[in-house]
Amino acid sequence: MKKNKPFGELFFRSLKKTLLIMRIAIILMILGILQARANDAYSQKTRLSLNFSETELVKVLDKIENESEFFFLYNEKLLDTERKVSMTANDELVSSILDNLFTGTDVKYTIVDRKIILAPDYLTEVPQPQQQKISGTVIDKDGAPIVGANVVVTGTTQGAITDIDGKYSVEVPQGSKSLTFTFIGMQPQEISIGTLTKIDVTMAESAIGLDEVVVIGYGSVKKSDLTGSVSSVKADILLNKPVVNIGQAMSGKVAGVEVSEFGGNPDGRIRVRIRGDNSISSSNDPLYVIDGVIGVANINLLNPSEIESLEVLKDASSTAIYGARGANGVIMITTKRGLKTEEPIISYDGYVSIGKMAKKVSLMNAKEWWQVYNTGMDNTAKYDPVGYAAGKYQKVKPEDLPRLFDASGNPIYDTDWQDYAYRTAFTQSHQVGVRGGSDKLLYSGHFGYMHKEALMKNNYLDNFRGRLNMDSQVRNWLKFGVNMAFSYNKGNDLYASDRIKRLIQEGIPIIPVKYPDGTWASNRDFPGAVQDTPARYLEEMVNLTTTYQAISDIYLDIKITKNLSLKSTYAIDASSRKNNYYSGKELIQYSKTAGGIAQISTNNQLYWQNENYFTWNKQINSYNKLNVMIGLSWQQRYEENLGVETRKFSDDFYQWHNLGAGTVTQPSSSSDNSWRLNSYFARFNYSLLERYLFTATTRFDGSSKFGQNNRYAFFPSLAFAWKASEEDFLKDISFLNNLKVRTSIGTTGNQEIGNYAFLQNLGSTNIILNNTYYTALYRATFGNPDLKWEKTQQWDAGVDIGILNNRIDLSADYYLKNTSDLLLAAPIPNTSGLSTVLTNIGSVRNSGFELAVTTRNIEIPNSFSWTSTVLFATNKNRITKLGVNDEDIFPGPDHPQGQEAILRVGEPVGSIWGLTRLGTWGLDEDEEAAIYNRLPGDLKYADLNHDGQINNDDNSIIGCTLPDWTMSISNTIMYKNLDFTFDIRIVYGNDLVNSSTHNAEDRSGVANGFKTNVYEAWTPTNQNTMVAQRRAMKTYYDSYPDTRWLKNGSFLRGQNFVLGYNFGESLMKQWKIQSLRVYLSAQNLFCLTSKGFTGYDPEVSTRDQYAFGVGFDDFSEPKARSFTFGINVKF
Amino acid sequence: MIYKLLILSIFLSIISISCNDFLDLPPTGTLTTDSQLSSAESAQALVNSAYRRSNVFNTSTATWGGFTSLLLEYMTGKCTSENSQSMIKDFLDLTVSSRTHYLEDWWEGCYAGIADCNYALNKLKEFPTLNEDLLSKYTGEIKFMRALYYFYLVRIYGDVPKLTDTQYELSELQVSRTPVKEIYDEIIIPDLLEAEISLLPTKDQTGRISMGAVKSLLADVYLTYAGYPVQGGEQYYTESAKRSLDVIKSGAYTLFPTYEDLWSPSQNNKGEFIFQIQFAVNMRSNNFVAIPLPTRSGMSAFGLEFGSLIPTPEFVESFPEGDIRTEEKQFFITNYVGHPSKFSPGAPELEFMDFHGYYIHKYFDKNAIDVAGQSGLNWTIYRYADVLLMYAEAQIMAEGTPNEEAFNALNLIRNRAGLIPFDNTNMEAFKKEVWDQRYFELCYENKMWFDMLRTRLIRDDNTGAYVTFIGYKNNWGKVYSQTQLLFPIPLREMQTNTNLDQNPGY
Repeated sequence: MKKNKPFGELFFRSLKKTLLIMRIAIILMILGILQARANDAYSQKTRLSLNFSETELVKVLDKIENESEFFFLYNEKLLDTERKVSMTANDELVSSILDNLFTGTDVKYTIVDRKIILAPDYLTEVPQPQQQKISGTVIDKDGAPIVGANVVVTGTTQGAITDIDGKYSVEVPQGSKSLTFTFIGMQPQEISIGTLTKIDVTMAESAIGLDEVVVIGYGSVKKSDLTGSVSSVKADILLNKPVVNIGQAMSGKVAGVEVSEFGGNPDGRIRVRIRGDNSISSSNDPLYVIDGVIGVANINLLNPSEIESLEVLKDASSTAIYGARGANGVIMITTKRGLKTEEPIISYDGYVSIGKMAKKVSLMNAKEWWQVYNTGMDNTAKYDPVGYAAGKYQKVKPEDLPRLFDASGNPIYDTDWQDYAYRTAFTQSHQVGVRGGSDKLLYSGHFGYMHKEALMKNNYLDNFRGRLNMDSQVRNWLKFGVNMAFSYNKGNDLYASDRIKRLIQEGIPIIPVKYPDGTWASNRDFPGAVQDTPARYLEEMVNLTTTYQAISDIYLDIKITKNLSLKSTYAIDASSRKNNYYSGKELIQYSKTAGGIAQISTNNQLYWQNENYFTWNKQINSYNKLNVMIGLSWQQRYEENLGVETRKFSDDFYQWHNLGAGTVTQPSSSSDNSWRLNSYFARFNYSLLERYLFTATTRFDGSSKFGQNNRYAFFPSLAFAWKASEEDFLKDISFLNNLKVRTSIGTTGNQEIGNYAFLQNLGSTNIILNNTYYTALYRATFGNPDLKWEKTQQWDAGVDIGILNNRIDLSADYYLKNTSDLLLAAPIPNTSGLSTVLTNIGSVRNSGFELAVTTRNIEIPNSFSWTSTVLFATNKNRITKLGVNDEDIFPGPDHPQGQEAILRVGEPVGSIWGLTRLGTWGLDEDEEAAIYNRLPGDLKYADLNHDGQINNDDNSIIGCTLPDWTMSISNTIMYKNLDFTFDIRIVYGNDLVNSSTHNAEDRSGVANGFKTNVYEAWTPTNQNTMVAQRRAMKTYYDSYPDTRWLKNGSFLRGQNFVLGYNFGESLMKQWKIQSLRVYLSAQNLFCLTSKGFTGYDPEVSTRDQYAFGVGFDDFSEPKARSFTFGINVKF
Repeated sequence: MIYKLLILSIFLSIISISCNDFLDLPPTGTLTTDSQLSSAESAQALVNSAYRRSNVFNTSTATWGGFTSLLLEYMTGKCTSENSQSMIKDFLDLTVSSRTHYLEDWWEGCYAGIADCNYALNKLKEFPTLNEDLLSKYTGEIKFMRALYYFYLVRIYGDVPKLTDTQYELSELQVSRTPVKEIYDEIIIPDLLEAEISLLPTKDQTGRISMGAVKSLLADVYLTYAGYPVQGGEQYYTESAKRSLDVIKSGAYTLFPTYEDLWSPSQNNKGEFIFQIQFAVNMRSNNFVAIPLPTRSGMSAFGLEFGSLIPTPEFVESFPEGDIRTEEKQFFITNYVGHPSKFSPGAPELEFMDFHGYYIHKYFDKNAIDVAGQSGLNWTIYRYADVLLMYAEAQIMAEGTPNEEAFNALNLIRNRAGLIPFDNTNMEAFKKEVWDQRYFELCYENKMWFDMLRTRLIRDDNTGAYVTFIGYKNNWGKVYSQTQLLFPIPLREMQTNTNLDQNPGY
């Protein structure tokens, strides 16, 4: 067997590879095509030799750009670039070449340093005396000058284009009313002249810019040239509300991306699904790519404020470039980069926010609880007459508990544990950014601090995050850049402990937090109850996680020829997470018997990637355009874990600070693993007549996660798009601005399984003999040398429509995905000694429809506008094959009272399994009840197989956690300086399981529960009910996952409301700031749910460690309704 | 141009470098089945794996307050549960199904144990330099454990798949059932006979298997083999008696003078105990200790009392008059004085807690319940009292009249219980007395159900008579039938192995 090479060696080997490539690039540079040097009078020194005959002008310009440091600026519409020219130049100055080229045409050139601006001479004509001159600057919203914008006197052909500094000067005939400013990708503006001689304009990006550039894997394309299904969202849309993580930012903003936010943890628990669940045993999470760094860890910790734009790759054509890791969709994140500005822009974004529990669960108060306890004890005579007669059910006597009951036998305290445990939470965030740059160097720096309190007492998250992005045009053929991000996060998170959340709902209301003498009260002070109050757990338990993460990448972009470039990137994602945990020596059921438990565990990860790819752009002729990208990639992730634990402390003081103070040492643990990926990829884009667009993408991936037999796999895809609106027969339809039809087909993969799964591992464990540990070796995994990739084939058909001057913009997609060779932890007979084998058996189909519509309902420039966006998505999921025999699989979560989720062929993942509760047995049904050994007042279930018994054979699929459809509606209204946004999110047709019904309603007497215990329980006068007669839980009662636990999970949420005010220009000048906006916002202002919904929030999962744990609510936490005041300022 | 071509060619040559090495990434933290093992410690570690799943005999299950051992008690009708999540009603109503709790735990645990034994046996053969004596001892240990796992399987499920080798191919997993007799004849008995000639020590106080354990198990196996369902023949009573007599004659084991020693962790692996499943405070607490305590009484430092195993008063009251075992806090408990660490000052429980009924006191590790909240009390598979009674039964079944050693064995048990010596030489009377003592002495130790199965008789608490199993009506008015002689094969196994047939009645 080959020796395992140390990580370091491999690391350096790959580094060497990269260095080699870099060296080659440098050689290219030194011995390269040109030794041009920059100086002040570049145009006076540079001489060129050219020889062309009957060549298109554009090629000549290209050649000049290629052979010198000059570059041309011109408006394509105003310059005939296809004009054929002939010329010979021998070591001539550029001015003489340009004279030669443009003599006799209406084109005039201007040389500014290295920039040559070409424009028709009418724009630079000698001014007529009766004309007045207007000048100004055109900038974008970030203050960067817009170069080459058209400034036209409205209604004439007279105008100018802006220069490199965004400045223009235009002669205006007298009587002209206004100037129109246009620039591709920006909203056109018309500004009346009046008596102004200086007009400065800030242009805003058009909401639906067809020429907006969209980032795709290993490159970018104009949105109009896209062939795949890609959603793109800019930062202003993403970050129009305060968000803690990227998932919250995306929620409701991207069609076909379903983001569920589960709860109240300080860092937010999110689950992101793109076009449904494909996989059963492997991951369904999308792949995150940040500035080209693939598969970044701890995505929750990325600072959303650093994001410039986000692209979601959904169909096979766009995801295939990430082949083996693309099956669940890809989320591409681009962070803010530098800007070419005269002065750097400094920005500050800050907010303070308060959050309160949006809804409480309806639980009993002290009086109600005491009543239910007594009723239950009395009723027990009926359910256990023998035990009752023997005196097994002794009611608590209030006089025995003087600390809890007053002299007249009433409870002294009435504690609302929800109010106690869930506080008003404050959050503050401060983000400072600097963006600037020159021709040669662009930079963007960002630093942020956030302190977030969770609703649950003592739970918080602090983070400091910084980023520096730099791009340098080292030479005109060499670009170099570095991105560096660092984050430090620290927080206490007790949400992970189910017990605390459960105790908050189960805490007995007659028990106080502390007694007047200062001692802790405990549920155990009431006989029959077994735990402490949540108050004590919140105080004496700490779960502190500290994470450091550094993500850094450098790139070299080498222009080998005008058409061919090589990009080489090297990236590292290093993270270190440390968890410090302590559970106090008095905490019952946690650490009391252990005498206190202190743990420190760490996880260190190092990921690196080296990717190199060539891009070749070729305009063959005016009909054929080609773009080819080909590259290769190496990736490795290494992970190391360490855990230590000691117990039995003399005092809670030590916590984890001094593990040596614990007298009982647990075996320490460590593990490490790594995986590697070696890939080759290519993309071929071909555009014919600028309206027939073809894309072919392939990736060939090899992964260390699979056995020698199936190590490499090939992921191809094809896409075609037709820009129908460019056709002559549609060009004349004035209301149709854009019509594009797209279709794609392809295969992507999923490798997200554990490492070494193809091997038969020997497990090592400790056995105990006579108080001593001994090592035991045993076969721990079945292993499967034939293990291979999970493959998803996807077909997508879509249409993009823009009508009425793009007032309505629509994008619709239908897709069909078949995932086969499902990586399945398939159950095998236990007789093998093992329970499952990871194998490729099973198929899942997802099909769905996505619609995104944006309408600009009203648009009165500088006065009033109203824009609406509606996103709609529906997805159908079916399992088509499972395991060897298509047997049912119970993937969890399971409840001690029975399985709650089932995977069955023909049914969707997320199917819910349970009994059907019909109600309760009535007094007149006693004989029928007796067949089932039950009494009137007991629960009545449907006997589906009519065998006279209620057992697991009477289970059926009773619901599904997947929604029928989801929708989000966003509206933005601008009136003068005011802006108002509101986002509504709707999820429809999903079911939830409220497992806490078991504890809070099916049984009673030892813990608190729902108010239904008092008001709905069976009594001889209330027989038509779903709640059984109350009785002491020591006797029997029925409680199984059933239709009573099932709830309708549909909801409509007032997700986000923002009211903002932009301070006027005059004020800003006075204060010397570029822009200032203040806003007030409300999140989760309201949430409409179905009538029977009993939990905190329908967007819930307390079992999200399971692939299909969404919608399972076993004592969840409340969601916050929060109000924020924020400020955005730019200097 | 030349340089550009040079760059490109170098670049392309890098791409074409074979990267297969790059993807060879063997695990660093775990050995694989291909690993070559040679150290003495590795051999020992493989042997140790035979004990890895021995906790299956009494381990907690997924249900709240559930333990595997409960399966073998609930069916006897001599106990109940006040923990409604224990599924007790399925057992009392005799409505056990293939999905009932505990069934899969037993199946999975025993087969995992068997797989460990099979793997270890094969792998040990590969050790080039393993001392013959050591190998003999190792083989004895492993084969004992394999026989023990199978012995439970055949008594719980009847015919079961027979596996003596490690399975490596997915295609070989669908194994059909082998008749009970064949499992005895080809695995259990040969394995034990091989262990019997190994170099295991007579007694072992470290928790490992000793020759005493091998002989005890063999005595039990032959006794069972002679009874239902195999009914191997009278000669197997002789074989059984021979082994139990060997244990008696070895002099290595003696009855504890007092019953308290049975639930005192300080006596683990000592005195009367022949083979036990090991527990240890701070390592693996025996939380079964909290199982028989009155539910939610607040009395134990475990923080929870489950009440999942409670004796029926009918059974307790069927003990003979004057039997020490029924005295308060011997085998049973009806009241307790609460410990100050668990009740607030002034609480009435500190004076007296009345349980209002009988509870089992056999696992009452007082220190664990009062103070520690963890118990190191072992779970007994064989103890000397069991062997004595096995001998008495086997001897009389083999020879027709009790010999002196049989009387002696029986009366050692009676003596400790404060009962006068038994002297009736009538075979039926003697046999009934031995069986009675098995009920009384070994109650709630996972013996009674197997005794009922091998004799197909149930002792009626009210009359003291032994009634035929099939047709017997339990305390809840439900009638045992042929079906109850075997438990069903767990549903999951039925689903994953299409070659299995379910037991009749399920």
